[in-house]
Amino acid sequence: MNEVLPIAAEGVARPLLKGPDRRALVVEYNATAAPYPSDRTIIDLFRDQATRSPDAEAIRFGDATLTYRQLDERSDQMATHLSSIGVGPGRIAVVFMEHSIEVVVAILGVLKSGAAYVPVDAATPKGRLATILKDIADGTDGRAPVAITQTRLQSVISPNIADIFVLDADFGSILNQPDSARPSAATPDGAAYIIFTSGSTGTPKGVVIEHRNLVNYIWWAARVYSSGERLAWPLFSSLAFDLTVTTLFTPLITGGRIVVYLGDPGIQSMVVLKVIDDNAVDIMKLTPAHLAMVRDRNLETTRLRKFIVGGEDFKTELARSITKAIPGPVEIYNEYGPTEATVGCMIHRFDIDRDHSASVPIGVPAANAGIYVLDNAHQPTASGIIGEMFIAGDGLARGYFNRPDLTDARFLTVADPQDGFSRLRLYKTGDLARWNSEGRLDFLGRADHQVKVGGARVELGEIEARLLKHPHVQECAVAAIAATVVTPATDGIARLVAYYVSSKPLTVAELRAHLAEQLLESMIPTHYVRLERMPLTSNGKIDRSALPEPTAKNIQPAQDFAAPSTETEKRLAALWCDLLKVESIGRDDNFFGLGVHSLLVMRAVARMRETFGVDVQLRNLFERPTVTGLAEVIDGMHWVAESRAPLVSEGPREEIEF
Amino acid sequence: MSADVMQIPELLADLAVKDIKVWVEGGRLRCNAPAGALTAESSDQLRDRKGEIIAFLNMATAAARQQPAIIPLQSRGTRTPIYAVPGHIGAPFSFSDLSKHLGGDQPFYALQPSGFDGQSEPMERVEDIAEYFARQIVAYQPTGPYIIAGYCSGAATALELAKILHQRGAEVPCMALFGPLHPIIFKQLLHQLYFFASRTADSSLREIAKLPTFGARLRYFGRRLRNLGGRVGALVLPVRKSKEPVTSDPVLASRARLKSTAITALRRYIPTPYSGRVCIFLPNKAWMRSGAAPRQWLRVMPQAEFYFGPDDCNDSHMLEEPDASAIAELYRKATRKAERLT
Repeated sequence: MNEVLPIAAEGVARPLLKGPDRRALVVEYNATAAPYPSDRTIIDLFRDQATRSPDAEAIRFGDATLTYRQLDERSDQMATHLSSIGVGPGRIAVVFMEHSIEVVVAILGVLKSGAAYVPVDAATPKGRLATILKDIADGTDGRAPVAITQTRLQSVISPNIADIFVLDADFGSILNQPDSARPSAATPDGAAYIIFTSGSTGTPKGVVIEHRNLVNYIWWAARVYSSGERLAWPLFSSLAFDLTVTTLFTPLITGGRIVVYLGDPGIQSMVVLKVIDDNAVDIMKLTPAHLAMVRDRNLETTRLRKFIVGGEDFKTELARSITKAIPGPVEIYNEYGPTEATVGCMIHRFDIDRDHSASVPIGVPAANAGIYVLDNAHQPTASGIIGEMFIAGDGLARGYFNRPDLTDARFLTVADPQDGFSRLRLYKTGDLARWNSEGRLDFLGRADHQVKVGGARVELGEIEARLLKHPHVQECAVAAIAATVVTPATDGIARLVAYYVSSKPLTVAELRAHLAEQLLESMIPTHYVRLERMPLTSNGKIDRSALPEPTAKNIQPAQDFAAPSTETEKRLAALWCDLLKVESIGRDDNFFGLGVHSLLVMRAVARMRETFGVDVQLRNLFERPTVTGLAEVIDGMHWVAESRAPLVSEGPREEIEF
Repeated sequence: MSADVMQIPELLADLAVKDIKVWVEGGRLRCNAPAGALTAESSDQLRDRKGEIIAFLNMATAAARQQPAIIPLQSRGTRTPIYAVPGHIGAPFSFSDLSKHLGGDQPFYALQPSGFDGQSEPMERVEDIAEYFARQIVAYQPTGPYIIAGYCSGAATALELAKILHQRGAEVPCMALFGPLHPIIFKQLLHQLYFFASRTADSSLREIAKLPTFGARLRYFGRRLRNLGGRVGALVLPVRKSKEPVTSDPVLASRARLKSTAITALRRYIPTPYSGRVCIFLPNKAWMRSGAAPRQWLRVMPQAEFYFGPDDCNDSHMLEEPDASAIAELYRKATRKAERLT
């Protein structure tokens, strides 16, 4: 037996990035080193500003205001009080409050005490809040955390799982504290905040951000967004969403002003319109979904000059319409970054003359950040190959609170993609991306949005990314629905459903043709649902769980729907409708676009033979995968069978040629 | 076409009722009718719609004579067409993703074995299956060149098919075997058990490698051990299952029968030498020790070239997403190499 391979084995993996491309996309792209005060805390920077402009207005809510000096003193008093009840370095204080001046005082007070704050949205359900409080207790030797709240919200917290401090009721105890400056107990490597985000298992996970991470980000944000100006920023988005961190701290280290807005119960997402109508801010950080709401407002007299957009894919068309709606120069930034890399780690300033692709690029790494697209072996992928985005740099969080397994799984130390041998800590984002031929990064959505449809593994993010490239599609979400449309689920076949918001009506044929330019047939959604607007979470992101079930009423019929016309077409369409559990099939609909799989195809072949009495074969289905095409073959087979029958009539015959 | 214009099949059916026969002869439309039966209106229809009628009749004649084994996954393109034998379940769909990744210029035909359609009989000898495919291919495309491919246990049939075509003077520039299973594994129960066990172990090792901590790996082991009885049962199942169809679903039943007959055929089959170019594409390097016995092929084709997919390639689904693109790239690489050599 020949035990030795005679031919040298040629190992080939998916193509990797090599040569000059590797230098450009891995090394030069990530040359982001920039100085920042890494030995200081966010409190040090705030105090520097309070010293520089003590009498400037730091925060406003309606008619109530605090100057920098007052905010510094009030937060000192808060810190002194918190210290007196045991809050200090290594401790955690939950801030469960509505938007107010007091919430900012509370956050600064917690930070000055040396503890980390955990912002929890005021609309958080009792169960979720209890899970977070319990998780904190579990991670701090069973010690119940301090929860700072307001009278109106107090009842949501069970007293046995937190030491509750009701700020508005107990305000006297704070005002009694000495207002003289007290040294901050915060340190650069101490935790500044913990933001709890949704976990894939349904249990929220806390991301621990240290002062050094926060200072690196805010120092960069101050330079890029404020660039020496004292701007007014609206505090309107959820404090539990890390997008709000920019709005909270950037003004406070640049001499700017926080203007507080409180949403109305039940229509929280409309608070963004209050901000616009009030016309009291210069810059605004928001999600694309919120910006889309702004677009419909009259912006001719707005004082807004800058927008920072983050959290989701940002359509160029939206950026363009905002630019046009505001007279005079306007700056629009697209900022990308997961909570685990401290708010934002990539940025692109929208350029109306140069940005022509459907989505605004996510741009280039921020200061002291590294962005890599890697394969499963953590090697940089070549242009055009999908990989996962990994982030390195000074923004990387300490990890997940009390979740060492998860921290190990998502924060990896691997060979540095730049040199291949030194060790580098990376955050595995779970986001898919690829380098395009122009050397720009295409963002393709979540890697864990992978589903199996018709036996093929499908990345929902890739479909969404392609759909968003349609010039008229503003927002979209693709879901795999196991149930059938119209009739109850009996076959369990998963079908892809595309939900979208568009600036003008689009036909199914247009959407399918656009998708088919780049996607495999198995990735093209079966059904299309046009929505007025996408359902949003309190963070302003698309709420996938609230997408409507596809029904006969809301799915978009193919605009070019042609009803089966001949008898064979009608019988054939009925047969396929029964097999696919759908209400109707047009004569030109492709069966392979309707969610067929191999078993169903063979059942269809058997049923067609039985129904029509001719020898339909699988190959006929591949050659003519529509009702009209197959019906023609069936008719043809019938004709051949009948033409072989002997002549019926006797008597003279004539032969003619045409 | 609007609904009020009579469709060609309806028009022809109308004529058939009157015993009027139409057919195509050398590109001309001819008609034989009882004297006086062909009205002026019918004559006008036949004359005016001559092109449509000829196209329909040609299509119908071709459909009646079609080669049922030839499944055109991609019928266009200028490259040498690939004719591919699926594994022992006979599913032509197994090549769908690979064909898509090979692109629009690569004609790709999957071969459907007799018995897969649920009405013809499965064949009990590899040589007979190959002969059937050879006849179907030549009837569909009378002259070569042809690239013959085989997937999994379809490799043995691909080998016989390439030999038959070659012996009949056709050009077969390359035989491409994807994750081929050598028939020896179907002959020896121990070998078969080793193959399935090794595949299961490899998949477990890949799962373990993905786990972040030692503790998580330990827990994974714990779960696997707890379920040991079930796992052993599952291991023996594929070996036993090859024998009896246990389903009342006619499609599944015909598949089970085809699978069982194919395994019988493989057990009988002894590969003989082949001298043409052979490229063997394995899912990954670990496949060499998988029990699929890839080295055994070197006994009859010592010139075979081996190509390996990415380390994390899922061997049971190497031709499906997401690995299909890497395997397609390997195929292109092998083809380019041949072009350079010529």
